[in-house]
Amino acid sequence: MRHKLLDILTRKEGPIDNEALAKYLSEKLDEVARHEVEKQLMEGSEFEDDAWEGWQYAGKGPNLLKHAEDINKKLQQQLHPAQSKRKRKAIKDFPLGWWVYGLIIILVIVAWALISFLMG
Amino acid sequence: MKSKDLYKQLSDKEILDRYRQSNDRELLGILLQRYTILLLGVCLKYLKNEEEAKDAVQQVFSKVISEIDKYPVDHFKSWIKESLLDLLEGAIKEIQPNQQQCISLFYIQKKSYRQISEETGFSLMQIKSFIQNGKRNLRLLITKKWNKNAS
Repeated sequence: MRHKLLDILTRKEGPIDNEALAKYLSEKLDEVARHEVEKQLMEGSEFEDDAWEGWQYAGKGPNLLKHAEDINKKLQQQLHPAQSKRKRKAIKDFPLGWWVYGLIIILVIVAWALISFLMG
Repeated sequence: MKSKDLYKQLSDKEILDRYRQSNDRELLGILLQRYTILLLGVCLKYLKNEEEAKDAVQQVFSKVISEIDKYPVDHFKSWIKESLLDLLEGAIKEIQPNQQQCISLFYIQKKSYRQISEETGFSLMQIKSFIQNGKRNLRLLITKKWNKNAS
């Protein structure tokens, strides 16, 4: 037991696994895993201390993770602007394409009905 | 698309080195996303508003993206925090001089209202009001700055 006292003085360098953090914030970890995340946070720097206090303000959970997801999406758009524009264009074009197909089908049906009416 | 798991074991510095060699922005994204939740927490602690905190994180990321190639960065986490502080410092410079002076004396030099009053000649009520309004303007500025960057 005594050797565990040295753990108190440990400092951790580097980031904490994001997946574990997300699970921690959405209360999806058991107590052992929660302790591991909290230990990593405790062994981190002032940065981690501040972050933990901030999460308490937001009430943890879904909102916080949704915000993080939004930020990451915007980050991707910023890092790959051309790709995002292409995606947006594809999304815009998709319904237009279906409108055109629909209109052509309706015109064919109307034309067929008109021809049938005139012939008959 | 690269598997994020592939980079899980790498340190920030290793990813940063690979980014510098390849100039692959996806690596920069992986590195920044390591800090999204943490940075959001830090901003929440100080701004106490979810939308404002979100905006501040996005602004820090924008700053990192635009400046990462200009400076040699060894300790990425510290640099991210510095970027957040730069952001605040920049905003502080844009608020009214009276508010700027009182905020600086109160929060940075940790002086009491009475000490600030002796130094500036403002009344205690004026000091309290300058600090309160200054804080509010700081928040507005940060949000406005991000919206300007985003549009």
